[in-house]
Amino acid sequence: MILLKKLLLVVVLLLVGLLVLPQGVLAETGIAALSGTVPVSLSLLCTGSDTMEPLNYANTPVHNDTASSTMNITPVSNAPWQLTAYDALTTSKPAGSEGKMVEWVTDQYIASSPKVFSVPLKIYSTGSSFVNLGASGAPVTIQTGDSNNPDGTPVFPRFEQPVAQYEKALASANTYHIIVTFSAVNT
Amino acid sequence: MKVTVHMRLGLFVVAVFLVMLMICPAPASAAILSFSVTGQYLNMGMTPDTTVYNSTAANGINATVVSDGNWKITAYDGMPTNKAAGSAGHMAEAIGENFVSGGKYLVNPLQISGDSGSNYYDIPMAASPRQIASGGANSPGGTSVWPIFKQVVTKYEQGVSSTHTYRIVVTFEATNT
Repeated sequence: MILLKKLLLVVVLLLVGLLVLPQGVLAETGIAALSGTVPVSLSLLCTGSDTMEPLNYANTPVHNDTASSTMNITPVSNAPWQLTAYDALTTSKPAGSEGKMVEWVTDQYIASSPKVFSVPLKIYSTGSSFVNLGASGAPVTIQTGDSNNPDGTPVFPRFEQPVAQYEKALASANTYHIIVTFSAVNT
Repeated sequence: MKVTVHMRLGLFVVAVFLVMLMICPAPASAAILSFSVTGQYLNMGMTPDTTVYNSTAANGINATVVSDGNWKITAYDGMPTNKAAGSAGHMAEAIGENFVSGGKYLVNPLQISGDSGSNYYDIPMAASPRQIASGGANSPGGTSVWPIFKQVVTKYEQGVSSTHTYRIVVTFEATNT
């Protein structure tokens, strides 16, 4: 009986102690949020020109002469990007000649009945091969990449032109010519 | 007989109470009486190749501690759910208040100063919090600390879509020393 009373007393004292004896606060926390945005940016440097290698029927198709190229195609972006190419029929290039080289003199296409290459110019597409250059509605993806700012990624387009022996010859002052449009978009 | 039993009982009660005083935490000689953190800094303009600071006036974040003993305030990145692994201390990609799992994060960590910009320290992870302020007993008025945050935005930062931001939640902790 006495033992029981002692045990009861211990329990009571423990409970009192927990309630009465003051407890110290060891730590308190609070939070603060900070946020901001780095918007996606994209630019494309697109300058220069290229010439095709000298025609040699034993060595067709011909390719662009990279040694003499002044082309500079450089997309710069802080997000993944894709570079495409197409024939926008600029400078009054005749409809129906999409992707094909057309007779040119000095600084314009021949206006009346220009000669048109029989097959389209081809351009190299990463992960694929040489594919026909098309119209603006069917751009060819030539390269993709991840964020590359601030310096960008120089791209050196590779062109290929099959030449058949029945292609029409031109007057000496004229050339076959095409203006390729490059476009960069974020993906 | 009864007197002896009562004396023994009384001695037993005293002994138990003394044990209670030893094992239960004694009244603390120092305690954090209160601690509050207010404010946030949203819509930080992050132009590449610049450094962004919060303005204590417009985007002030305040930590106020009241203590009856010596105290310190520390800060760290508590790494909320989904905050990108490896981004401790860095602002990381989020949609609203939710971090994007595996998301992007800024190149440099956010930095904090608790001494008005004299010294800046990288925001650390929880395991090694950075002390930003300390002091002695200040009850009842308390002490307010206005930390300054500094974010170096490099020209290599990756852009995020219009519905995303770079975000961090800084945890402040007040403890007695």
